[in-house]
Amino acid sequence: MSTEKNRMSRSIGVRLAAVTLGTVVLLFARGHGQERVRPDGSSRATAATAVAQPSAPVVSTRQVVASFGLPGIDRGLRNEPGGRPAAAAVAAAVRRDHDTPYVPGKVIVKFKAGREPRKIDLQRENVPVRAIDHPTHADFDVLRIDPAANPETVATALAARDDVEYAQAAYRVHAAYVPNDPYYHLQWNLPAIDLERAWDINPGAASSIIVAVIDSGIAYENVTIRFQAPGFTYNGQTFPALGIIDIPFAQAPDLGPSSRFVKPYDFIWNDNNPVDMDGHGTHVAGTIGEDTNNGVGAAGVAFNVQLMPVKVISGDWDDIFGSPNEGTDDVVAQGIRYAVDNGAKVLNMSIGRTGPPAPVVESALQYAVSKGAFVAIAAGNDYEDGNPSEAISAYAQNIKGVVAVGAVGRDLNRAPYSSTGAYLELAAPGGDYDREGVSAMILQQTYDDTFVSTYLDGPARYEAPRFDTFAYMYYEGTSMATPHVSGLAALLLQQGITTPAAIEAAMEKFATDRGAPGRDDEYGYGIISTRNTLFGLGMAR
Amino acid sequence: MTRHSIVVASALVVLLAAWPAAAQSAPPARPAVAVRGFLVVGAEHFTATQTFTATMGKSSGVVFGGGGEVAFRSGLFVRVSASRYKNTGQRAISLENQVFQLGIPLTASLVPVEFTAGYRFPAFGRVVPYAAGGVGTYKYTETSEHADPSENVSSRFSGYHVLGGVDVAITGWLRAGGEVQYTSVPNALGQGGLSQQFNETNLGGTTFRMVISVGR
Repeated sequence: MSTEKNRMSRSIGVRLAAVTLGTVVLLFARGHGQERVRPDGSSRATAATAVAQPSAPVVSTRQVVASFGLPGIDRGLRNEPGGRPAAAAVAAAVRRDHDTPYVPGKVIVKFKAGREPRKIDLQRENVPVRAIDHPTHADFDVLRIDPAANPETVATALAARDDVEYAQAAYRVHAAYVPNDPYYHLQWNLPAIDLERAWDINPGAASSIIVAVIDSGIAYENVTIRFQAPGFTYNGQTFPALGIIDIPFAQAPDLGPSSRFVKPYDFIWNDNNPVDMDGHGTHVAGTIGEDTNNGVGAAGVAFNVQLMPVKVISGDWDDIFGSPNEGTDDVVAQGIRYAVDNGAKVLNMSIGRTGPPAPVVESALQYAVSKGAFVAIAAGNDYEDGNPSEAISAYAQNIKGVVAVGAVGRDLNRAPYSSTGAYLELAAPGGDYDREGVSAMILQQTYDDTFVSTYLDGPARYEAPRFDTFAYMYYEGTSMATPHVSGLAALLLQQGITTPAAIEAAMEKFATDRGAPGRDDEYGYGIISTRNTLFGLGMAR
Repeated sequence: MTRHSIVVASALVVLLAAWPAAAQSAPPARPAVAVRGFLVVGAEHFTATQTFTATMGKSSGVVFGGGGEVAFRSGLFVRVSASRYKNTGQRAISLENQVFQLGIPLTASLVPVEFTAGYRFPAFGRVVPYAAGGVGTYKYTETSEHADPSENVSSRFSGYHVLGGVDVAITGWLRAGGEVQYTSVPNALGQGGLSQQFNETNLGGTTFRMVISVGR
C-alpha cells in the first residue's frame, strides 16, 4: 500500500476531511502485502475504501436481476456557481467537398472612387464579366464572371488596372469546428489544446478505433444488479446493513448510443458487467469520447471512437458490497492484456500508485505496445505530498508507445498537485482548483454524487446508492489530463499514424514546450498540441 | 502506362521518326541569326528525394514548358524558357524511421524561368548536339488544405543549371530533340517541414525532356 496521501484527483463535493481520515484508516485496513492501485482522479474512492470494512462477512457475488433499466437521468451542470448553459454555439464542421478553395464565377473588386467602369467597358477589354453586383454593407463590387474562367487569373488582370484598388477571388472561409454542446463553453480544456482546429482536420476519429478505459468501469448500460450490503463501522460510526438491495444502473446519456461500447469486462467482479460504482471511469470516458455536437451537455476529444470499459479499480461501493477483487497490480495487468487482446488500440490508464516497482504491469505494458496499442498513463498527483515516484507511469520513459501525462491548469502552468520526474513525457489540461477555482477543473458528465456517496453524510442519511442519475461534474487530476492524450492518440491513429512509438513521437515533436526549453521534469516535452500534431509537415514548412 | 513512360515514349517516337531524314540528306545551312520557339515536356527527378517521396509518393514529376531562342551562325545561342511542375500529395510526418502520410492534401508547384546560353556543335547529319548553362529564378508554392495563410509557402529562389542535348532537323522549320538538364536551387528547402527533417535543401533536380522547336 502506498503510504502517501492518496489524492489523485478530486471532485467538487468530495469531503476532503473524510478523504484524509479515510486514507489514514486505509493504511491500516489494507495490509495485504500487495500494492493497491488507485484511480488517478478520485480521492473519493480512497475514502470509500476505508469505509468498506464490513462488520459481517460479505457475500462476494452479485446478480443481474434485470438486464434492462430506465434511461439515465441527467440533472445537468453541478457545482458551477452562476453557471448556465449558453445558447447553442456557432457552427458545425464545414464540409470540404469543393474542388477549389474559391468560388468559381466570382471576383471581388474595389474600383477607385469615381472610376467604376460599366460592364460593357470591361467586356470590351476582354474581362469575362457577366454582371456587376453592388452588395450592401460593402465598399467593393462583386463581378460575376464566366464560370469557366479562372477567378485568380481574372483578379490578377483586374488588379493591374489603374482604376482598381484591389481584386481577389472569392475564397471560401471555413468555420472552425465548434461543437454545439451547451456546456462546451465551460470546457476550457479542449480549446486549450487547439482541438477546434484539430477537429477541422479530423472530426472525432472513427468507430473503427477502440479506446479501452482501464479504470473504475463506465456507466455504459441500463441494468439492475442485486447486491448484499452488510453493515460496517467507519470513523467510530456504525452504518447499518442494507441487506439485499437492487441497484439501478444507467448508461451516461451523453456518452452516445450503446453501440459505442465494446467488449466490456470487469476484473473486480470477474464478469462482463463493468459498471462504474465510482464515477471516475465515466468522467474519464467522457473526456475521451463524450458524444459531441449533439446539442447536449459537453464534448469529448475523439467522439466517434468505440469505448471498451475495462474495470480494474474498485470504487467505494465495490468495497462495501464486498467485491472479490480490488485494484491491484495483477488485476491491472490483466486488464491491459484483455484490452489489447480484444482489439483496443489505445489504452487510457488514469490510474497509478507509488511504492515499489510493478514488473507485472511493466510486462503487460510491453505486451500492449508489441500488439500495436498506445498507452497513456496518469503521472500522479502527489507533488505536494513529497513528489514520490510513480510505480506504473514511471515505466513510460523506457517503453516507446507508453506515455506518462502530467496536468496543467487553465493558465497552462503545471497544476500544483501534478507529480514531476524524469518519467514525465507530456502534459495536458487536468484542472487546477487551488489556483483558479471550480471552473478551472475539467467538466464531464458522470454520476451525480448526491446519489452515490451517501455514506459520507453519516449513518442517519446512509442509503443505497443510485447509479442512474447523472450530472456534469468538475474533477481535477492527472486522471483528467490523461484522456486528452488518449483522445489525441485515437485521432492520430485515424489520421494514419499507426504505431504506438510513432504516436508518442508525434505528440512529443509537436507539443507546445513549457517550462525549461526541451524536455523537462514538469511538463515533459510540453502540452499536447492536437492540431499541429494532426497537421504534420509539408515540404518546406 | 505512367505519365513518365508516355513522355519518354513520345520522345523516342519523335526522335526515331526524324532519324531517316537525317540519314538521307545534308544538314541545312545555318542562317546568320535564327529565332525559334520551342515547347518542352519531360520528367524531373528532384534532388530532395526523401521530401518529395514522403509527400508526393515519388521523387519525380512531369514538367511542361516552352520558350524562345535566338541562335547564331557561330553555334552560340541564347534562350529564355519557363516551365511548370505541379503535383498534389499529402502532408506527412517522419517518425521512428517511418513516413506516415496524413491524408491532408498538399499541392506543390515549381515554376522556373531560366536564362540559358549555349553552343551547338557541328552537326552529324541532321543531328546537332549542344551544351549550355545558365541561371534562373524559381517560384515555389506550397499549399495545404486546413492551412493558415502563414503555413503556406510562396517564395522565389535563384539557381543555376547546365544542360546538354541534341536537335534533329525534321524539316527546315521543325526540330525535335531531347536534352538532359541538371538544376541546382540551393537553400530553397530545409528551413522547415519535412525537408528540414531530411536535411534536404536543394529544390533542383535532373530533368529529361523532349524539345520541339519551330523556326529557322
